[in-house]
Amino acid sequence: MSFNYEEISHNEAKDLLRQWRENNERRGKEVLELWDVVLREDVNKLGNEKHVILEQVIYAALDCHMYCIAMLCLVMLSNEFPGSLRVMKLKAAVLEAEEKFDEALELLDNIIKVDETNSAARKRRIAILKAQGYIVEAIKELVDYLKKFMSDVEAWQELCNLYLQVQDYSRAVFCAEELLLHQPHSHLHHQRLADIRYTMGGIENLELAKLYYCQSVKLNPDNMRSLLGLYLTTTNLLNHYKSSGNSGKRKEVWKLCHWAQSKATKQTQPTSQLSQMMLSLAITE
Amino acid sequence: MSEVSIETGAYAKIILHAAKYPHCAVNGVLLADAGKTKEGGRNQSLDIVDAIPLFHHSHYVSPMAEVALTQIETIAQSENCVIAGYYAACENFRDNIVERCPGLKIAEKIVEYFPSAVFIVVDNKKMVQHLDSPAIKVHKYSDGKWRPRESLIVFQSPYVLETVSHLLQKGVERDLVDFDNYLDDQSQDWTNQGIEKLVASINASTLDDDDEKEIR
Repeated sequence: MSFNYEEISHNEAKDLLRQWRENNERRGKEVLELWDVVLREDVNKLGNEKHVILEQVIYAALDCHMYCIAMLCLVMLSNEFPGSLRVMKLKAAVLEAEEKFDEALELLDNIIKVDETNSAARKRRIAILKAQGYIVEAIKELVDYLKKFMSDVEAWQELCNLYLQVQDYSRAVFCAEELLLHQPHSHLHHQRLADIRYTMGGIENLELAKLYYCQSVKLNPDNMRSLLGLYLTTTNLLNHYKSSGNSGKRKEVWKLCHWAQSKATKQTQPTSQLSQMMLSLAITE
Repeated sequence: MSEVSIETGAYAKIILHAAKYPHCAVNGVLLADAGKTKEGGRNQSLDIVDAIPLFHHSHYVSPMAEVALTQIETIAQSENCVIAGYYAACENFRDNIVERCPGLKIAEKIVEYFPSAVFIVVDNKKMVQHLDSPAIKVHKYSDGKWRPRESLIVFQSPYVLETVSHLLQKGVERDLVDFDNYLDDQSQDWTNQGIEKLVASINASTLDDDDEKEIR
């Protein structure tokens, strides 16, 4: 999406920025373009949202490597709020973006000393470790963080990703299950857990994967990854059951497999390669 | 000495995919012309004609990778191509080596079926809007490890760096579709025919310029 920034009005620009803030969209380039063309002229016209918008612009500038714009906005904010922890966190983010990791860590440690409950500063410390490539240390710190802040869903998600990166699947499963405890109605969490179980392999894990995929499809019938995952899992299970003669289980799995296949092909275009692939993989009784 | 020649379209798609998701690791497979390759030969010369962008998240879980590879095999067979390589870009700016890339298992699987396969690592430090050198490093598999081969890359067109720089400046990466985008919305085309056409038209116009210069 691109906008004609010459003709956009001040209020429209503010509305767009608010919309992106609420949807949690970064959109670095677009925020900077809006800032350049529209908003920089008269910062004081921004009214109530001035400080939040300055914060948004700082992050956008850091994303696009424009450190001068970030410093400009930071100076504006620190003049109005000297000694504020929130501004200090932004300063640490600027140092982190410029790769001055030691200074950034020092600043974050100061914030934590002043305010022990500041979870954002602790998470930035972990992000810095990750940026430097120290994945194992990042995992250790994140585990310590989660012992104190157990209900931080974002952190559990990040820990799950880090464990997958180091291929510690059983601990990744634990994290994914924590996510499910916090948000049991999210089809994405069920699908994630099923993906990890499928990757681990083995009949027990495949059975569990099948269950989680089914739950994910129940919660959201349009989740293509769950449908395809279910199809793959049931195909694998059929191969296992062929040799051991559990005809009851085999029938059940076969029905599920066919159902998943038909749902998936219905969702794709009729002449697509997916249906060809399905046909080539199909197991006939 | 075997040579790996890369079409502009394939190189463009690799760079655009990495540019579209600068904050993620990305990966994809490379297709080569089957007419010029033999089964099971080592150290063959390859002609990489296309790159299929795969994922920008969930690299370490396998189901969608299996689905993607099966689909790509079907397409490759119908277009007389063969899966001949794998490319990846790391999430961390400083990671430019094979061991830190996602999806090494996929690459190993590809090499099992095609021993001359290449592994292309995108060099994050050379990804700029005005490319002055190819931002990729080519590796070949030998003795259980991926070893870098500096001298192997040959581009089909002499204007490849300018073409791709032009695409990056225009923001064409927003139109690139990878397999993750396709899984979220089945109407998107993960073979990126649109981008192929765009690259072909740019190539055609540079060739016209060449002819004009010759006539004068």
